[in-house]
Amino acid sequence: MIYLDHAATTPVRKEAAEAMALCMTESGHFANPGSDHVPGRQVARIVEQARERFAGLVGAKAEEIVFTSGATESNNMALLGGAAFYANKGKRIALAKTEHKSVLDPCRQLASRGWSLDWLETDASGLIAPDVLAAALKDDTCLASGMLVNNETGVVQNIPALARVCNDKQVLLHVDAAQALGKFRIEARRWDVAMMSFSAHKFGGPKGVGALYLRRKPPVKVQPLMFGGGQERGLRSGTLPVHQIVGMVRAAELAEAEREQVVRHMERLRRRLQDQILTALPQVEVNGADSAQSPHILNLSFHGVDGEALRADLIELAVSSGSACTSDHAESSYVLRALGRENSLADASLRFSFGPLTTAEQIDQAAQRVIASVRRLRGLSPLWQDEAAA
Amino acid sequence: MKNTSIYPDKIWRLFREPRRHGCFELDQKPVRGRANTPAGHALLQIELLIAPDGRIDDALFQALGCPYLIATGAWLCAYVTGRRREAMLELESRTVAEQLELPAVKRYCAVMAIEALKQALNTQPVADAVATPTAE
Repeated sequence: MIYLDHAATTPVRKEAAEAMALCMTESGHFANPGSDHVPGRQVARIVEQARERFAGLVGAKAEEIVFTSGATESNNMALLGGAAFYANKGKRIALAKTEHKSVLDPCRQLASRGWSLDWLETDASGLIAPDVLAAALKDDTCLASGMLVNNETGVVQNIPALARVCNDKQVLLHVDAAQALGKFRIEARRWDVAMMSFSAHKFGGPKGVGALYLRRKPPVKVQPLMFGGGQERGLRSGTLPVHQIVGMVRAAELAEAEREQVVRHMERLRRRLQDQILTALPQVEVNGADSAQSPHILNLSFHGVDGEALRADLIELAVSSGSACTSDHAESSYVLRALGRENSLADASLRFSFGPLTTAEQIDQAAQRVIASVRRLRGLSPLWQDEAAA
Repeated sequence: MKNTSIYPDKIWRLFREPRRHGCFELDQKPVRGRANTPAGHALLQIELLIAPDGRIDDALFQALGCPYLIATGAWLCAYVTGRRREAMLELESRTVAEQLELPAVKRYCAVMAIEALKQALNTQPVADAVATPTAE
């Protein structure tokens, strides 16, 4: 099996798993960081040190980081919590249809409660132009949400430029940065975004933990979604999962320390896979933006094959398609359809995503399997032969 | 080959190693039928060589579609070969679906198979149609 689905999740880094193990058993730092006794205070210090280290890695201050269960919770907290806190400014949110579902669905939830959603036009690759955002922001727009790196196409938004537009109009910009850490240097404060979401398992940390950056200057407030023991300054009640937090921060440190080297490695892999497939096969589209592309994702659409058959035939490859198909009317990637791909082509699309340990040999094997499968399925198709004959 | 897919063994085998796919030469005088889905995302083509006595001598398929459709095309061609035209005009999609144990959401593959088969059985050889296009 060749695993090329690191945008879905990554294996936990060994160093992160080891750090986690030290916070779980009787001989380790298992105490509740909220407990007012010596072991509890020791663990609380571990959590605060982890917070400080994580904040440093994303260009923030420790007091601006709230630990959550992952990017889905962070996105929900930013949008539902932000909307609840700032509803008196206006009930309007601007976002693109290419956002992750954990951004789209909270916004649709708000729409069902009377909020208005303004859909931002993107170019064909999915990029939001700052002037398009500026034109979309109205007097009663309260929030805008953008993705640093799109999880399906790897397209990278110009977040500093979008933040300037939002700040000029006093709109709070939330950024879903789940795919970005370890591929880009993140500068939350310098970019002057209001909120930013992170997820540990996308960069070698464990599943079930993430963080939300909440700007302090000028301050951004959200209403909590969870109530209880008042942890995380009352913003996110629930006993802190110390082992998860420690694992996330260790993985983030490794990802940031190795970032430049890993990015060069992934750029080579991406180019290698793309070149092999596009050289061997006609009628393949690249979904992405050459000028603004994350190195860890290559998304290709294949004309002349059925998406379900392609995925089935590539059983030795762990890749993603962004589609859920159980019938003739398979639901293809809404992101690719939002970018103008017709349904059947969007369905016949594959997202390859690479990790630090992906090898050139794996890329070559994957390319050969994709080429063989597409040729085989096209060879079975009456339409492909019609077109070849035409 | 070991089946680690989400597909039943029979479907998987027919999908991965489909026999009887392709087209006949025009001078073999095949008859051809095609069926597609309403959305036009799937297409099945069946070609038959029918002897003067009404026996189906050979059958080939081509398909653009999911593994179930490819498997259905392969299965149908094996099934009709050696059988008589009149008998195959009576074949129903229900029978195809039962034989292949198609799940409810994939029954359309059997419907397409029967539609393509009947169109082929009721048409004139491709070579004649090419020679006299007005005859369609």
